[in-house]
Amino acid sequence: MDAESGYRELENIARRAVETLQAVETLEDLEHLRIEFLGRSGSIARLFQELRELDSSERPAFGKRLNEVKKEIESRLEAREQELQSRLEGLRMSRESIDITLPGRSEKLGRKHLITRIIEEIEDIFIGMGYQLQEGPEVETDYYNFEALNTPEWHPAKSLADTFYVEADGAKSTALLRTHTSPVQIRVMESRKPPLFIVSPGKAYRRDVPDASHTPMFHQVEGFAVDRHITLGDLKGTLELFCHEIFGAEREVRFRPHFFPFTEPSAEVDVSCGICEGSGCRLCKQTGWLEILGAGMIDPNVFGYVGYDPDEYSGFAFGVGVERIAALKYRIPDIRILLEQDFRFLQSI
Amino acid sequence: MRVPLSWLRDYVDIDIPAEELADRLENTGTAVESIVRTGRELQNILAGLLLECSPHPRADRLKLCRVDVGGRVADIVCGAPNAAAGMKVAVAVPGAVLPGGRRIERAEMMGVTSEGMLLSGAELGVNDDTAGILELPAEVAPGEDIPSYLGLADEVLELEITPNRPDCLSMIGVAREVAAILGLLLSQPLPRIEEETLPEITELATVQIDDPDLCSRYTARMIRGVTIGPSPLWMQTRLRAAGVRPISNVVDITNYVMLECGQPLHAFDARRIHEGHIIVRRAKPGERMVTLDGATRELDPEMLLITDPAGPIALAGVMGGEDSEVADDTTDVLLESAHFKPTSIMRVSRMLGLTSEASRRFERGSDPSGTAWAADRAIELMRAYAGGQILKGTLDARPRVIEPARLGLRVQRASRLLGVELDASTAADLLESIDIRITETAEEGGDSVLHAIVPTFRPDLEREIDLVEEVARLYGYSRIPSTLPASRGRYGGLNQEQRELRSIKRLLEAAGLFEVVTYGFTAERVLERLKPGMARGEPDVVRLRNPVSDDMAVMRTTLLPGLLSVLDYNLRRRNTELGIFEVGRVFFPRKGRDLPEEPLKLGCAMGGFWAQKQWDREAREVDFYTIKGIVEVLLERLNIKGWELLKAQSPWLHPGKSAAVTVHGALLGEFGELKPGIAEAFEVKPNTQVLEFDAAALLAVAEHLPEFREIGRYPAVRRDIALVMDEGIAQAEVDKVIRKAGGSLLREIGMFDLYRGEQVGKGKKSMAFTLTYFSEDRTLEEAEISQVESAILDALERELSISVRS
Ligand SMILES: [Zn+2]
Repeated sequence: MDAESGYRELENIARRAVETLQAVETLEDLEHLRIEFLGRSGSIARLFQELRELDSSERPAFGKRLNEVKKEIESRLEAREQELQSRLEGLRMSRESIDITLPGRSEKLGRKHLITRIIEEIEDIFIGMGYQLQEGPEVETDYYNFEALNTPEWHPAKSLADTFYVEADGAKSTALLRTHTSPVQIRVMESRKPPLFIVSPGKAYRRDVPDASHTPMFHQVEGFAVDRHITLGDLKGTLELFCHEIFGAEREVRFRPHFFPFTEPSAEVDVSCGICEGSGCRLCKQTGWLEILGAGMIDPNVFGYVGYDPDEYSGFAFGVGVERIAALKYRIPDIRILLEQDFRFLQSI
Repeated sequence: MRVPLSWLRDYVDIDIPAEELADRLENTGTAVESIVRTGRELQNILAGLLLECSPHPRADRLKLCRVDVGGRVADIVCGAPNAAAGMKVAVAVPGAVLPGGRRIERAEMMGVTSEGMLLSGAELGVNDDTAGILELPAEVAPGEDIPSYLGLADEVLELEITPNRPDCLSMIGVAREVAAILGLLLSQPLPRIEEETLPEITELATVQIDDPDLCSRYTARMIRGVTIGPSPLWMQTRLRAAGVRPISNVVDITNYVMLECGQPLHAFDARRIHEGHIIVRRAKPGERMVTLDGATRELDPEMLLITDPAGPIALAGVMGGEDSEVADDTTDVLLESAHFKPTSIMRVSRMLGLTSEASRRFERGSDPSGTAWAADRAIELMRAYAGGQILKGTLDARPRVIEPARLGLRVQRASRLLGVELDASTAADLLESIDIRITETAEEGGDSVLHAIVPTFRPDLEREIDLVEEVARLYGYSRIPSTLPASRGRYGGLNQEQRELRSIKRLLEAAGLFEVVTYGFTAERVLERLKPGMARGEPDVVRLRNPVSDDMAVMRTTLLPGLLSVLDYNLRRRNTELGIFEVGRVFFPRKGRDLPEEPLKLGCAMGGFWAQKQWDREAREVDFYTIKGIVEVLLERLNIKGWELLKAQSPWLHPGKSAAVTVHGALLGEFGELKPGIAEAFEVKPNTQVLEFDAAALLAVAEHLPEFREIGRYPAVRRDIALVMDEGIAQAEVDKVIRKAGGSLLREIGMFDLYRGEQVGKGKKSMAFTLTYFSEDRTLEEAEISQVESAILDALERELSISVRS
């Protein structure tokens, strides 16, 4: 073999390898090609045999080229093999494919009641502001529910038409179902000294005729803060933050002066209506505002009952209606559904 | 309180739209429930002078009327019997719109064209009179716009007045607020009694107050020769707009003045007062009277009466007596304007179930200084609109003068409480704007103290804090900067019990149960059904004195009533796969204590299918082991060790399919299947399972901080064994023997099969277990495990006659 025909053949092999490797469609045929080009008696091996026949001055260059072609064929073979392998796997997997739209397998999952979740949400907001949780009894005395909260003896809320009273065991009892969670204020202040930052969730009872916004049992979260230098401004800041956390930072919050026996000054707190954004709609009765809660500075008389000096300490208190928050946040038109326990409701929200 | 703006404008020049006024009122503490606009639809209703009235040629009952409607004459057919020439009338000309949107056009009436219609009081909406057309006062000029003349087009603010503000139950009181807020002047009418005639009132009437505590002041005036008839239209219109039904001139005037200034008034027929002598006293035991609603009232010494020497003539401040009320033939009126003790009026009105506009005002506190003004104002109006002659002088019994309160306001202290820097003159200006007099500003104890005299129409202002509130609301809450309380080393968070309760709820929701929230009260018969004898006659249930219904009459002693009613409720709505839980209190009376015990309970209930059949799975029905699984999950996650199952005691549980869970003798709770009779009675599925645990007991034995145990890095070895035993042997017995014999290398026992049938023979059963062995310090050898295993099998054979299943 002379160098010229040697080169010619080598380039022929290289070209043929590119063409045939491109055309080969099965792993079997590919194996045949490997043997044909790279086998012990394949075309490359044959040229290595013939290399010895070349003039020694031409051998290194040809040898170098021969090795290049060999490597090229090897890498092409490998690439083609991978291609064919993965095509094969793809075919196999496509035969294995299943109906992915069939329902999955899972264990049943229950849910905490919406009321519980809202209570926990409220608790967590105040915990974040440094409050602790304290619960109180649902059956209370007149003293804790009314008297120590500065509610006069003749107050209409105390009537048999508004408050549930408990039958006495012979003697005259003043026990009643608490009408709000505020008695916890008194119980805590009686037993501890400021600073006090407390939230108290729980059930309360009023002798209301059930309607879209009243049920004879409901849930409230009472909150209060007592320390030196607590201000009405602190109450505002605290409740603004609360409203923004619950309803979103874009909602406006306003404080309207109001009257409650156990706070003074007192306020009712509104947030701007989320449906009409303040322009007026049915939900907000065209006012653009939704009443959220009642609050105020703890009345000095209340401090009197627990032996705090109102010139040393001041504090604020507020009561949040959980059902009211649920109704507004989730747009539930009738809160009675919260106590109906229909599974379709429990599962949906 | 309904406040027509047109009326309010009598006292203050409101120069802003109603909406803005409402906003300003809201922001200073007077809630506005709504703004009602009346009469806006009214159009083309004019005053007319009836020039001529002639009979209709073809209909007897109709008249042809020629009416001057200002500059032109309209021919109108009218059927009213009272239509007569010379009358001033209200005319709906073609194109008119009446109240309710009714339109009036030119119409043909029995062959004659009618250019509109003459209106009755009812058609115009000023009274209920449908018998004839409305006669207008002679002063009105033809062509005048009737809606504006009668004040029919108005804006009415519906105000929510808080119980501390009796002064705002009047137009002048609201006007005072408005004037203060808008920085305007309040102009209060000055009653001028110009014509008094002899005799002196003292010659005809006397007042004696026997109980100065309940009645501090009794003012009276008299007028003779009045003619009872309708009150003027403008007054009727205002009363209606304020929500009061017009009755007659004298009665309407008492109501009108009450609405105007807040002082309730009562008009007596003077001839019915024996000897003209009024005695204000408490009722005597057994005394009775007939009130003007016709009811005979049993009186009580708690009640204050207005009496004459013959007996009661009115329930003071609450309701007049039938005998002494003003009637159509009344000519002489004695007008009462008194001040009564608020709590007394409240008590009496509660006792009798009677409330009125007057009692509402008295019980919140009327102005003891305002009685004479009100009496003068009313008597003046009576003379003007009912005729007659005002007797000379006023009776004014005033055994006890209620002085204006004198209060101090420490301005810096107020600033500190509000969180805004106020100076003394700002605070003083705000207080003076609502007629609180500041007599002096003094430097005392490092603070500027305002010395204030509070007018008697503000009985709610008794303490310094009340003035602070007035300053704050008039200054505007919105101007007080929002801040957060300074932190004084406090931290927030849940305590351990609160955290664990939350995690129990989380666990149960992950276990597939839905939380429910049910009423704390239930029906006595429901408790009785669950536990016969529990509620009957025994003082072991908390009963309500005033339940709304029998279904909510006692406090629950178990969560079951609520849980079972939720299952029942959902079954009726075809909801299935019901698994629920509740965490709530139950109530037990405590002997000799006011308040009951309120243990917190955790309850679950489930029935029917746990899971319906699915495409790849068979349906799973609830049974004892479903609820037991919940119990086990709970005990495991709370790290409660060494629990035991004993026989349950709850009378509602199936004795063969239930258990009590105890730890070292302490009962945590009970669970299992309902007794068939109970399930039936509550209309739930026969396979219903329930659970009730005591939360405190559960948390008391929970290991909050489980101990760390080395697990080692050597692999575990698992071996299965299948055993045959007598039917009567419980799994726990087998488990116990295996555990004991297995020693320290045996770490876990899992049961994977339970078989009964031919292969093991009658009266026998087979259980198969996977036993897991491992050691912390070595890989276990085959021989070691076999040794333990044969020890286990020997023990089983020896102690329970259990053999290996071949
Ligand atoms: Zn809205």
